Amino acid sequence: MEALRKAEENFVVLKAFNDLVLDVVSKDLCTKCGMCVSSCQVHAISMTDEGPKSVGPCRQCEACYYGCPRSPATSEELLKASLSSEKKDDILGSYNKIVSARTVLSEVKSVAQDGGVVTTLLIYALEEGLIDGGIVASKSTIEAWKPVPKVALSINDVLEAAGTKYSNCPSLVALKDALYGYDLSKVCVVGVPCQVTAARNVKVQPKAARKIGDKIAFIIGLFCMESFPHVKLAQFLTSNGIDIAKVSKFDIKEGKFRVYMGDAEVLSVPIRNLKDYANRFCETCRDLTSWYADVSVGAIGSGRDWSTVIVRSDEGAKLFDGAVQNGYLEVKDIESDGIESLRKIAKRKASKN
Amino acid sequence: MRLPSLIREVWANLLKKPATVKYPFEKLPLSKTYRGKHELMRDRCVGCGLCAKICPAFAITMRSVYGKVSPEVDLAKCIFCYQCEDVCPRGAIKRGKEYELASWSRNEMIVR
Ligand SMILES: Cc1cc2nc3c(=O)[nH]c(=O)nc-3n(C[C@H](O)[C@H](O)[C@H](O)COP(=O)(O)OP(=O)(O)OC[C@H]3O[C@@H](n4cnc5c(N)ncnc54)[C@H](O)[C@@H]3O)c2cc1C
Repeated sequence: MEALRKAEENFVVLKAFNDLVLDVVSKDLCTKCGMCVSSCQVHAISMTDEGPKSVGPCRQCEACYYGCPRSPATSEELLKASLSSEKKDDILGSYNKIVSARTVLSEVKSVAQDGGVVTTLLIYALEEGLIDGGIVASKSTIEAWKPVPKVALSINDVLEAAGTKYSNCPSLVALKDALYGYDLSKVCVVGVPCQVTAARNVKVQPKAARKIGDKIAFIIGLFCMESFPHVKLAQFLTSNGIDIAKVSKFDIKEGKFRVYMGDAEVLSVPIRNLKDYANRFCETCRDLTSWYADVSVGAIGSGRDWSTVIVRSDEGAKLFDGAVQNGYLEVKDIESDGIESLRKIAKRKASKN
Repeated sequence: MRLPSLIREVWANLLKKPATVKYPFEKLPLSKTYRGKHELMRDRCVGCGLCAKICPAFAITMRSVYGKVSPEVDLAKCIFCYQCEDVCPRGAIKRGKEYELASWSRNEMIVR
């Protein structure tokens, strides 16, 4: 009896891929970020539109389970403790400073979503040799406006990936190509809050794939209210008589979802009309501003063609201040009502879900 | 005609510096990816056992020391393919630079 009790005490429950399926995928929590695919060292997971699928024998190393941003094992305390920021804020996350910024590069201005800060930071880091490559969401050449993961190795690649696609993208799958295919040792991850959480997870969570975390130099986070599955977005546009292949830009501003063809605005609907089209997994997310990024970038709070930038860590400061000092970006102080509206919207997301 | 050329050759080589290195006293620089003795980083290892499963030479065994499971590499069996490094999700196995691994006892051949 004593021996049995002892054996029970020593029994460790392994969190293998099937536990990930049970705890995350089957509960509709999976964000399809792609970290499980990159974490798996025996190539047993593959990403589909419906989520991760097992394609080989699991060796129970637990890396996928602990890297997952939505797994019950993800600890907010651990993630929070990893950021050395001065100001602690429950709604905007901890940060060092919030400013407005925009690019000075004309080739970025013409393709970027807002202030072009993300693209410019990537260009600066590539030119300066701070990174070997970036993980971005590029546009599919087969299906219009479908984001596909890409390893950006050159400035052309970065420019190609500029602009927001409002569908979820398994960007982090590209980490596998970057680290084992291209053998890069310093990469910058660009992603929405769920992907940022995953990228931070592999840096700080001891049981996650820390090998990947070692090679992530910077994490750039985007603000994100919600995303829409590509199929449903195309459906919504078709029901409004718009062919998604002809669209030149999507934008969400002032609570409206706007669609542009060429320079003309062809559709502007309140964002709440799209509620039924949004991803289910976004309903449980409370993070608007990418709490665990090094630098977070978004539109809310700054005027037209400017971006709001939240610098959260020392690495983030090194990247952002470097780009400013070398004349890649221009900055100005953010207006106080800008921070107010950002706080208001962030609070709405945090309390709604 | 052949003899003078041969003598010339011998004479030239006598004055040359030797092509070899005086090994124990002098060592060649190692390449960046040299595969020497393993460096196991205990603080990173969580004991998942992937390295032991992939090792083609069965050189790695998982041992429990004070309740913590971690790998032991038997250098007598190891073929230095470093698949264990490739497969370790936590980056707990590093390529070391030490290559003088001969020893008098089998016990000393085990990296713990
Ligand atoms: C799904 C989604 C929802 C968003 N919702 C809001 C919002 O509600 N409020 C707000 O202020 N901002 C939101 N943003 C962020 C905003 O659209 C801009 O991306 C941000 O302001 C950066 O602007 P920029 O000009 O610096 O970006 P750019 O220089 O144009 O670069 C954009 C970068 O984002 C990456 N990217 C684009 N689409 C995706 C994607 N689907 N997944 C991962 N990476 C992607 C690209 O790889 C590119 O590197 C959202 C972004 C996304 C992807």
